[in-house]
Amino acid sequence: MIVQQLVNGLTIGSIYAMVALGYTLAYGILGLINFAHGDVYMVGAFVAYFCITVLDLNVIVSFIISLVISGILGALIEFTAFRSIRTGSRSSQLISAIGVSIILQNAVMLTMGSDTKPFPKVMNTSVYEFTNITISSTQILIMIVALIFMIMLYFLIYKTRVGISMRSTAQDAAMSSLMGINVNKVISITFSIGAVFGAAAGILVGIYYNSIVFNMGSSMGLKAFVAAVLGGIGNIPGTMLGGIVLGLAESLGATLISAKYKDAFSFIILIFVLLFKPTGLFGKKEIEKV
Amino acid sequence: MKKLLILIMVLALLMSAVFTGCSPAGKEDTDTIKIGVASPYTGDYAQFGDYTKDGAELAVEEINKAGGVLGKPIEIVYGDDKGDSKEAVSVAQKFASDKNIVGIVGHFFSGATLAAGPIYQQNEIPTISVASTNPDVANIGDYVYRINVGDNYQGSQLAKLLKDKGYNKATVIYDNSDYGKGVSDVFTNSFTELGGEVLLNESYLGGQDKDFSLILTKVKNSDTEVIVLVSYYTEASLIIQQAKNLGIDAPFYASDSSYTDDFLTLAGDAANGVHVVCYFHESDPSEAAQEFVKKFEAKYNKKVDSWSPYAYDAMYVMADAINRAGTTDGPAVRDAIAATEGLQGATGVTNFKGAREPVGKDLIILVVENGEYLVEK
Repeated sequence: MIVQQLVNGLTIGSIYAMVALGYTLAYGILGLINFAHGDVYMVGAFVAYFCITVLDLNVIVSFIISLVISGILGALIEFTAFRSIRTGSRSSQLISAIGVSIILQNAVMLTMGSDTKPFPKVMNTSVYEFTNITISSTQILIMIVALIFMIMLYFLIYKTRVGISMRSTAQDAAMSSLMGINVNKVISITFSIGAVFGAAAGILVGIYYNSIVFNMGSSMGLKAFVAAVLGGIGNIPGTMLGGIVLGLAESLGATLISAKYKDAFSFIILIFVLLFKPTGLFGKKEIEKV
Repeated sequence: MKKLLILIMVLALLMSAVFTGCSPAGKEDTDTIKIGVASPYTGDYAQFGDYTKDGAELAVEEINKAGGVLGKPIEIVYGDDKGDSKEAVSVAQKFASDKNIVGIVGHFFSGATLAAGPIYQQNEIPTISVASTNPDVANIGDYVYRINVGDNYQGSQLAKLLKDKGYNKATVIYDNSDYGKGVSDVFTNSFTELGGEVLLNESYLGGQDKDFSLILTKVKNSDTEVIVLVSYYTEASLIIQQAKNLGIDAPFYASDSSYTDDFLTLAGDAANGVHVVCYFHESDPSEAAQEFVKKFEAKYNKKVDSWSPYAYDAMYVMADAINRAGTTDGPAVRDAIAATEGLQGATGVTNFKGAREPVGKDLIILVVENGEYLVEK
């Protein structure tokens, strides 16, 4: 049974990791916790839902359209909600993020309705049985897509010019600007990438659970935030591992103790990480810039 | 100083307005009889609110056509509790502060009625809840009634049915709400008494959990022969689909709260073969039931669900009681409701006979075949 629970944990952990990357990217570059990120994840799922059911488009096309729209939305959120208060206090940035979150949720609720929507069946789910584990094709899909996205992100950040400018902006925005990097553009791109990850995760969750609802972003946002803190917020490989560790911890806790306290485990882990290793499991010690 | 004075005066003015609202001012003479109808009209459980609304509106339309109550037409005032206990309290407070509201039909969820009921009790507003099946609803106080039988009945009937079908090892998965715990407890006790064994009793947080693979893996690794699902339709559809993906073969018996059309839409193919309990089905042979089905289909052009006939009957019981009381005073209407006897309605005969729930209404077991509910033979 433990092995089976690990498979379950790995699936949900991949989703946590993808959403958590959005938090980490925003934090890494601006030192800002973007609480609207969970709702970008929800919007991504709804855009795909709209494309498939109303516009009657192919699933791959819908997936791409949704990622593009969410990417634009991510940059738009940064432009409207964060750019003008970038040098402001952290609490005003936080409030601004929560405001965006409320706007997005209500906009989707008003346009799409407040009931749970069945996500269209885009693939036939087949179930593979091995000696003591069962794995469904949607679970495999989630893990593969998550893996591809993470590898792509790794190459983008560490092997491309955009990645270099992102990393340098994260280190010192003023200095990068002097070196000829368009900092505003880099920050917009970073938010877009985060949003694309969120949207992809939203669509995968839609396919996995066959249902989406306007407030699905709030609990996922919280979990992903825990995952990001767990792995070390701002640290990309750490966040990926953080998501997976969180998924596994939840499933092990549910097996060994009770599934009732599944959510409690993630928050207990958060508290312990904050108490004993505030920079996260894989985070580096940060020196406050003065 | 002057500013402070003005502030104090404004505050005093506000306070006086608040307190006059609380004082037991007499009812105004109005042209209508206002009845509050409380249910979840938005949110995850909005379909249940539509059921209440459909039933109550049909009843009010007929009652008003026949001359209304005490010579005045009934006016419905809606209160949206979103299926949430906290929201239910604020709806109840809003209703209680409106002295023209003479009675309440609703709330729908047990949790909502358990939270709002004491407020109606305190303010002496007679209440007839629809679908609140938790056993404790009947114990709130003498102003709170329900139109349907409770979970004691559903839980024990279900246990008996499963035992008769030859199942001995069951698992219960329930929504961690007043309703879910109620049915789960009664079922577990009755099933054990009958000689069966409940292997697992797993719960989840309704409206939050979307991933049930952890619970279902435990179920798969036990010797469960049958799974009892006490869950609302959104989660029920997720659980059934995820069970299918995990390769669980044990049959599902879902409680009445899953019986909605949305359950079929959300669950898709996975719903086939699932058994669902319901309190009313259009195939009910009684004359009153058939007449209701005809009127309902003519008005709304859709199939009758489990709960609109109960909302319809609740409205009739309320109207009948006010008529018999001859006044809209809370205590008088309460006494009239308590004395309700032999009132024929769509869901059978309502007898309160001193209890605060009716006696002798039955449940029906449905099975899903090709995406449709059929009565199990």
